[in-house]
Parts: sequence; structure tokens; C-alpha cells
Amino acid sequence: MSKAFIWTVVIVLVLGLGVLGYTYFTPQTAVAPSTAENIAQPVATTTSSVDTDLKGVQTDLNNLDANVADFSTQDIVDLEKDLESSQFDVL
Amino acid sequence: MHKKTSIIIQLISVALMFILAATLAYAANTTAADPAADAYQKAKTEWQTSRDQLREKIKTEKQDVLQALKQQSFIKAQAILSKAIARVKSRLVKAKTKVGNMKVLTDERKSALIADIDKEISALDALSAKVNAATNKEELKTVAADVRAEFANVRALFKKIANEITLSNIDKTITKLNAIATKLEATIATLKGKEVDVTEFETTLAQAKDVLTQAASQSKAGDSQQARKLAEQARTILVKLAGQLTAAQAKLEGGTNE
Repeated sequence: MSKAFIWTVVIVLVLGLGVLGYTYFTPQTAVAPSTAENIAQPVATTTSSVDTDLKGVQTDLNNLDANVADFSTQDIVDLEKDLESSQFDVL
Repeated sequence: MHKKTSIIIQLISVALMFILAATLAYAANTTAADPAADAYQKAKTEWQTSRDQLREKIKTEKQDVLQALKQQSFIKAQAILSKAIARVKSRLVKAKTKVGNMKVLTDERKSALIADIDKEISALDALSAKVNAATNKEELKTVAADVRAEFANVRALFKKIANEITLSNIDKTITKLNAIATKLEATIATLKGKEVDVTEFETTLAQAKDVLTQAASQSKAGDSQQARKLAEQARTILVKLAGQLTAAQAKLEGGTNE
């Protein structure tokens, strides 16, 4: 085996393990808890796709809050409290 | 021996790469998400300490000493205001990116919301300049009041954006639910063709359609909470209908239709 081949194998292994390591330690995005009723009963062919669609809709509805989490305003309310005019009376 | 050493070195390299990657991932997850929030917290602590010390000294120190302390505290007060503005500005910049990437919003709505965000960013920049230009307590108190008023505007904008995103998502959901209703309607028609009594199914379907119409109407009116509630209600009805139809089909296949 040539040195070049060995080094290629080593580099591929290093990169592969590096990616695996990164993936392993990066937490997955939290999934909103499902409140779905059990609609996974045995179904006839014509309604099985509907059940899948209904589950999809439930997921969409569960994710509505997560989609707007970046627009929460509580921290701004806290800032407003910190900056009340009376806080500066002592100056 | 040489080969053995080479393998050991290679294994150590692999292990080091793994550790490095893992460390980077860990650091990326633990580093503060918003440096502006950290900077604000630091300024807040310094301001509060300075303010409390000043309150203490007022009781004991002479006027000239107090004047120097007040000057120091004034700088801390300016800092907390500046950092608070920077923090909210940072939220707005992130919001701008988020809105820009929202697939659910139309380009027209995105542009309008981004224009609103830019307007608030400009207002905050103007206030930041005012904070830096303040030279006495009264000026600082006035600008602090302006900053709070501007923060209230930002809150209102965030609520508006969240509402629009939710409404757009609900509209998508309503479209999906209508498509499901159409599929179930076809199943009812099939069963009807096989002489199954579908009166109950038709009633349930009509109920679902009615609720979906109400949901669409509330969404159009801008009431995301009510639209969401109705969409959830419509989904529940459609789940019930799907169950009824499945049972009817099973009965039909078993040859025990009533």
C-alpha cells in the first residue's frame, strides 16, 4: 500500500469521525409535545392518507407557538422596568 | 516498529479531531446566544452597584465628594441605557433575518414588516445618540422615558409580527383541513354509491366545513387565537369523521352494513 493511500484513508477517517463527533454533541431541535389523539387505528386505504394528513395538521398546530418564540416580548418588558425614570433620581 | 508508531499517531489524530469537534459543538451550544444581553446585564449590575453606593454616601459625604460620585454614576446610567438600546436593537436585527427567511409570509408582507423593523432600528439609533449627548440628570431622565416609549413600540411590533406569522400558518392549516374535508367528502360519496346510509357522515362533514369557514373568517379578521381554536376544533371533527368512515368501510367490507 502506498503512503498516499494510507494518508487518504486516515484523512477520510478523521473527517468522518469529526463530523460524527460534532453531530453527536449537537442537541436536536426540541419537538413540541404532541397532544394527538390516537388516530392510528387500522384504517381502510381510502382514509389512511387522511389520517397522515390529520397528523401533519396536528404537528403544524403544535408548532405554531415555536414559530413565534423569537418574537417574545417579556425581556423588553423587564428592560422597561429597569429604566423607569425614578431609577435615576439619585443622580 | 515504524509502522506501529504510525498507526498510534493516526489513532491519536483521530481521537484529537473527535475531541476538537465535540468541544466546538459544546462551545457553540453553551456560548451566550446574545452578546448584547450579556453586555446589558454587566452594565445593569455596575449601574445598580454604583447607584446603591451613591445612596449610601449621600447620607455621609460632603457635597464635593458626592459630586464626583454622581459623575461616576451618571456614566454608569448612560451605559445601562445604551446597552438596553443595543440589546433591543440586537433583537430587531435578528427579527429582521427571521422575517426575511419566513417562507410562510408573502414577499409583500415581508417587505412591509422589514420596513417596520428598520424604522424602529433607526429610532433606537437616534435615541442612542441622545443618551450619549445627555449632560445632566434631567436630560437623562427625559431620554430614559423616550427609550421606554420606544421599547413599547418594539413590543407592539413584535406582537404584530408574531400575529401575522401565526395567521399565515393558520391559513396554511385551514387549506390543508379543507383538502382533507374534500377527500372525506369523496369517501362519503363512494359509500353513498354503495347504498350506505351516510346521513350522519354528511352532518359531521357539514359541521367541519362550517367551523373551517368560521376559522377562515377569524383569520381574515386578524384574530389568530380564535382562528387557531376553530382550526383545532375543525381538525377534531375531521378526526371523528375519518374514524366514522373507516368503521363504515370496515363494516361494508365485512358485509354487515345496516
